[in-house]
Amino acid sequence: MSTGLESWANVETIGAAYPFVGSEMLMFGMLLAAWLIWHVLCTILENQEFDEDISVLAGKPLPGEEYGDN
Amino acid sequence: MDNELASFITIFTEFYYWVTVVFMFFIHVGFCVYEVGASRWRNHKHTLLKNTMIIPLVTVTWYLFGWWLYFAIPNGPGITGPLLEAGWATPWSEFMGTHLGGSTFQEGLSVENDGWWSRINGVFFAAFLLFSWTAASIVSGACLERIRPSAYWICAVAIGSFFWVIDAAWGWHPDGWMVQLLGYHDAYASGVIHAIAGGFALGVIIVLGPRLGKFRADGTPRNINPHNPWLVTVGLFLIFSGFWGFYVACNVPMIDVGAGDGGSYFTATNIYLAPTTLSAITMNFLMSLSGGMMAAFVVSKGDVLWIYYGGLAGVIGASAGNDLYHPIQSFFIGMGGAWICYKGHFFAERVFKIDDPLGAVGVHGYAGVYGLIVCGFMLWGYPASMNPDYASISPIGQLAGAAIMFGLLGFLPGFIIAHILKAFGMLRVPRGIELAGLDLREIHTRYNEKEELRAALAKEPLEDK
Repeated sequence: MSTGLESWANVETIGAAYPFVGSEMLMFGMLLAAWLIWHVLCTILENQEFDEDISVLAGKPLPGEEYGDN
Repeated sequence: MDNELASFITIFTEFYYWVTVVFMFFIHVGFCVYEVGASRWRNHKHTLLKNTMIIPLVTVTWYLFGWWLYFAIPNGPGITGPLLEAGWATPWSEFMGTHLGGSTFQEGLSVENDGWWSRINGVFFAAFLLFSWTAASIVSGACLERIRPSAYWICAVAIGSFFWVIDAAWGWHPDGWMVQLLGYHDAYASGVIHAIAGGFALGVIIVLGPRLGKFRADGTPRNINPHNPWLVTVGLFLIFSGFWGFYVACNVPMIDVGAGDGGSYFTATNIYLAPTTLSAITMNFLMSLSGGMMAAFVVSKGDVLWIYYGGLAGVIGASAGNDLYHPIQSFFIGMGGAWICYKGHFFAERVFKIDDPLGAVGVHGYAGVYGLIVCGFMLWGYPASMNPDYASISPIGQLAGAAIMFGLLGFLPGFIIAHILKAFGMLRVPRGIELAGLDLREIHTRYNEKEELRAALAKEPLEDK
């Protein structure tokens, strides 16, 4: 079993030395998706935070208060 | 890598750029410290968060498309030629990972590229990436204390990984169309980084509007001082420190530019692969910094923060031609940069009600534009490139370049993106939160009981401590 390089012999011929050579396009797709999803998540979290802050400022129940678990 | 000279040059260049990256990291540390020092206590953590997240976001997007764009679009594309092949810079390139320069398996990579790009790609990528962080950080300061972090991060990616790369490909690549046709010369990025970022910041803050309380009812501005001038001082000195790395990263340390008799001539070059020396740029950096600080002292009547800003504006004002100026020329050009920065900042604040908390538009935008135009006169007729077929440097070419950098690729995209974000209600924090402070959540976490929290909120002052 090997994920890539198995020997340092003939070092002058070695090109790509990272594991799973050939999966570059798949990794690119995963990174692109991670970046875009992050923006969506951060916007959702920010909206939640601001909604909560506005509730606090308005004197409304804090998150969880309606369930009596504060 | 089987030839001693080629191996030495390649590995030396690899190390050289790595060192510049470490130095330039200070710029970002400086921006974080500086902005926290300049913001009010109730916004500290969000200010830090906003600027810190530039690091991963611009890095990832620079990896995804920024790096490739620089090499792919020097021709426009369609102005002086087509989209170019840049196999080493695609996000799926094998040269983005550990590569020893041996056999390649992807199309578009050549044997000639193997030894060079397999070693240089990552450090060169990083040097340009640190420029990208800088462009994004410049915009950050202008939006202080009122932009939604999520909106700012979209702006940061736009300026840091997209728009500045376009201008770099056009005007900072040895074969960029602006270099070819306009003789555009901008050795240390008066326009390529500073004018574009200043223009982008101006476009955003016009739509964003001033901080609450910045202007009185009669329209006169209030001076909202930094909460911690010592932190601001440390931050700005860190930026100065990083600026050394920035200058050095704009050079190529050692290449053969060719002697007239067909032999070799090894030298350091500017970004256009035209000869200069590290000594010259070091001297000119110091003298333009000095000119800027001395002029700022006079024009601001000894305001120490404006002396720092003036030092930056002095360097930025002289940067376009600091590869070739005489040090005394750099000194006086630096003085002009500081004067333009100071006067421009307060003129825009007084007349157009522009709230630019850290003077980013003045320091980077106005001084950057000034630097490009001055360079056109000072280096009029100089070759912009080693290629004799390209246009030479001229005032018209530099003026056109300044309009492209500040206006077309800076102000216009910033203005449009900010309008789109505003249309979706995503640009500015709600008024109540801006008044109470963006770090309201920190107050939540300090208090467990609602009565205790509300009592604390009632005591929290809405103005400066």
